[in-house]
Amino acid sequence: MIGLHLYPNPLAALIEALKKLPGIGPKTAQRLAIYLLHAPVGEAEGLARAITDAREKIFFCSVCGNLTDIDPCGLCQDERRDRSLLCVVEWPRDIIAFERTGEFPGMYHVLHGALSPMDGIGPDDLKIAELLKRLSKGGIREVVLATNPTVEGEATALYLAQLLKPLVSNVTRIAHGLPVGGDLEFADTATLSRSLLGSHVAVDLSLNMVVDLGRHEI
Amino acid sequence: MLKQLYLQNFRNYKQLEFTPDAEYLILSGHNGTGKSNLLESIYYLSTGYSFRQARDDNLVRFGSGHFIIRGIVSRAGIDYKIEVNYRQDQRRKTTKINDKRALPGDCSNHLPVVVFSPQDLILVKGSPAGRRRFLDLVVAQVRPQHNSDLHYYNSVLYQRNKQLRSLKVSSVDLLPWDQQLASLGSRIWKRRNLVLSELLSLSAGVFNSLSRGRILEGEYLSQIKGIKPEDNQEQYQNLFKESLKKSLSIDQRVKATTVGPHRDDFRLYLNGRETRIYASQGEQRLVALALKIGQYRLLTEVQSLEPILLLDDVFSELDEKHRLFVLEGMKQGSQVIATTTSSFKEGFAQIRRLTPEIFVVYPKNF
Ligand SMILES: Nc1ncnc2c1ncn2[C@@H]1O[C@H](COP(=O)(O)OP(=O)(O)O)[C@@H](O)[C@H]1O
Ligand SMILES: [Mg+2]
Ligand SMILES: [Zn+2]
Repeated sequence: MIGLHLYPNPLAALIEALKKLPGIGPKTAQRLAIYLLHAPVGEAEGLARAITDAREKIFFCSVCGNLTDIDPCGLCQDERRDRSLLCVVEWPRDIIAFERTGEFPGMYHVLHGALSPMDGIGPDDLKIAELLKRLSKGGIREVVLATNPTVEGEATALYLAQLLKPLVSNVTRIAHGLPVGGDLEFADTATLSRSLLGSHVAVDLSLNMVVDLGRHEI
Repeated sequence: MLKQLYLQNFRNYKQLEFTPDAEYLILSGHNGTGKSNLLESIYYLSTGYSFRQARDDNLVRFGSGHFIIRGIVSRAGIDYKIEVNYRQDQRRKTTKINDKRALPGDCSNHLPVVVFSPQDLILVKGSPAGRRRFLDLVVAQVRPQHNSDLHYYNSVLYQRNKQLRSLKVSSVDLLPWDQQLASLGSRIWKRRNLVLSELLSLSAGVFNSLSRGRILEGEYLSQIKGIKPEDNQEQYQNLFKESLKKSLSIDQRVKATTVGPHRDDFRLYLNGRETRIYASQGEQRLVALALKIGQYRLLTEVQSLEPILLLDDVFSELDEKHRLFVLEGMKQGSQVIATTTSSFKEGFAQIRRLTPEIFVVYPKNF
């Protein structure tokens, strides 16, 4: 990198490390690095400690796959939640989006991704075996497929719907009001709670789901 | 109507600000001065691709790494800011409408364009891809949902083709993709059929009067065997899914999806004979012109849109009578931007310099 040797080595290393973070380009990385050098010692040390702390103490819940510091996680331990209702999402951040709405009373399952042949991601790369194990224990009456309204999220939902149909009496898909190509993470809270409330429609496999619902205009 | 255009590093333009402050204007200049490039940028802003079969990379000014096209357009009295930004290193194009992310081609309804150019002949003579693209543009101009359906269809197709490439593929792996292809594909197929029949009936009327009573007809050619244009989407979905199953072994061999609306076409007949094969060059040109005028009429008369007409060198290509026919549209309040190598005498019209080599001519009696 041209210009990198302008910085003393430790600073250059810090800039390089920051640049690897998502959404951080070279300029922002430089600004952050310089900021950290000028900030009070305690602040920089606090940040370093927070990072190692989080790395040491946060892991995936052995039941649902959510990020947690206790196992099972707080959501899985919460006795007030409806254990017969299970919402399947792609990422832990999607749980946060749902929890913000305060509308969903059930449990979660995180797949840690979606089917995507172009990225080499198939069913075995997702937490599907774990999902089947949970279902085999019984007691789950309804599974809500809440993967993202992208073609990959949709494919994952279709795949799961087919797989789960013999195992669960009710497989549903959230769809209403979410734009195709969107991301649950960016969906506003009102849209999500609407979609959760409107989700209790049994999935008919002969119909396409997200890309169809609310978009019948020809 | 296009009120303002800004170009950066597009083709030969390092930087250009253009205010087409008239309903009708002509860009006059010698060959190779950038007149077609300017029309191309307007077309690209609307549709997300070039009407000259150029790839995005070709549009980046030599020696630069990106281009920007930005426009202020007004539709039904409301102004919109639309923008396309292409970065060569990432091969990524970003489209924005009023600073919000949109899909490439989403502007084809905000700024409907109809281009008349010597390239139009490929509608008759060229490959199915060119005809599909034209038809899809017309459909997207009148049914904005079509553009996003095409976009998602292509994403699904891409994923399915990647899946076909993996070592062992089963129909269980393909099902989630086939399902989406069928659903999106059935809408694409249906809309194309509806719009094509409207377009053809208008174009046939135009052709009839251009050619002293000769008959232009056409039909949509679907890849799916046994489907009829009047069938419904569900019938199409079922037949499409069946075809996908049947072609699985071929698809695996060629590692591509060989059936679906992405392989469809339409065929044109002049007095009952296929135009591509039997018509003369002159007749083919006239058919292409009739299709474009048909598109224009569909947008204005049926949909009450106000398309912008881009006339690239058509004055030299057409004889007097057909020229008049094309120009008739302007009286209905559409904006027209034409190019010509002819020069204009001072006094004939108001003339303004746009670049050192291109003049904007405002004809007086139009
Ligand atoms: N990517 C590009 N970068 C710079 N110049 C280009 C690029 N593509 C085409 N040109 C130049 O643009 C000119 C052609 O412009 P064009 O608009 O077709 O001319 P005309 O005025 O005859 O319609 C040629 O001189 C060509 O070299
Ligand atoms: Mg030209
Ligand atoms: Zn948990």
